[in-house]
Amino acid sequence: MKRDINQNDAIWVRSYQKGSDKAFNKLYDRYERPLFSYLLKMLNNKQIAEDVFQQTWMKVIKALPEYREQQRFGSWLFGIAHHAAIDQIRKTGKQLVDEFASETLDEIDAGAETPDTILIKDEDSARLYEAVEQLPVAQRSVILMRLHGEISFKEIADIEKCSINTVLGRMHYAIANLKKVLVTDTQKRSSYVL
Amino acid sequence: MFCKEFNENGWLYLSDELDGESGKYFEEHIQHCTACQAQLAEARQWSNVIDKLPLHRPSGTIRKSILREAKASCPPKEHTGFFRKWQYSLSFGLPGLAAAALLLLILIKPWNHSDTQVVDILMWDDSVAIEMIDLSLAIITMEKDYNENYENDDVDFLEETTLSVFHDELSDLRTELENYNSMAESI
Ligand SMILES: [Zn+2]
Repeated sequence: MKRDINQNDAIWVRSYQKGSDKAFNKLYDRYERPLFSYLLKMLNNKQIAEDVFQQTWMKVIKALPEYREQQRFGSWLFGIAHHAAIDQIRKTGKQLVDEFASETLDEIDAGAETPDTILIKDEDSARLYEAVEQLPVAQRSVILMRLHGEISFKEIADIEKCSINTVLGRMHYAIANLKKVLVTDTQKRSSYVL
Repeated sequence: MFCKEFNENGWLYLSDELDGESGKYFEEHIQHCTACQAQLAEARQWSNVIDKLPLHRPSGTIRKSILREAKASCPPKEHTGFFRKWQYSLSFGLPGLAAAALLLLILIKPWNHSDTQVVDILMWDDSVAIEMIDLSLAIITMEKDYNENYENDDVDFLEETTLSVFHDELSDLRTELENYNSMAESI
């Protein structure tokens, strides 16, 4: 009975454009939590995340009557939120340029100081949550857009105006960094036991 | 263990973004590459774990103010005159909706129409679909107003069912019209 979610989005968009304000509620409810969680973890501040969240939807509402599905709705929405979040981070004076410039796929070499594979346990989840918040912005944004927002890597490359290799590179680095956190924790735990 | 192929294709494969040739190539590659198999398994594990991280909601007042703004900025309603006639029967709920969809199917049976009319209908039936969904939303909203509990499973179920009935009826209708159209072309 479940239909393709993107098809649903397109129906709600067109329905809203044709005058059904209730169709907007469907779009909002579908994206409320993934989008807000994305902004919260990007900005690490509830108040600011709420402001940017609201700004994003206001922009969407303003542009929606003219929106013609050039882009999938979800990817369009996350794109607007992403740029608003980056503007916000710039405002607070953080240096993003260098961070966004590096980390392409070519730089990833075999092994990269992390163990081959690790087993992620349920109790790691809380620690992992903090670890995601501490990833460099560029890596955090890729991993969260992909996994919370279900935005494809190709769409992320379009949103961030970079190559798909850069996006994949950031994904690899994000996972490698999270892995390091978990491995360090495990080592700490075992040395404590010893 | 490490394989360069995974860096280039692994995550794209998992997110269903490898098309045609590259997809086939990678699928064949992982059949015999144990490094890729291990990396894929781990990547899947990471996806699951991150997927399970808690999601957050903004404060309740934000939802209200955004929806209020959306309502105020909503373009004016477009009504096809035809559909007004069905509004009454639609308001009876699900059986009424199904009946309306069926009547629609009978009323615009393609053999009653000339070629150009069929093209018109093909152009038109998308707006019909939107209108139907729109009306079903109105009914659902009415029911939701009765029951402030937004998470109510029965309401969700009714909504899914209603939309699914519409969807099926309309896709049948579209196929029928398209068949007729190609038939007309071959004559
Ligand atoms: Zn391989």
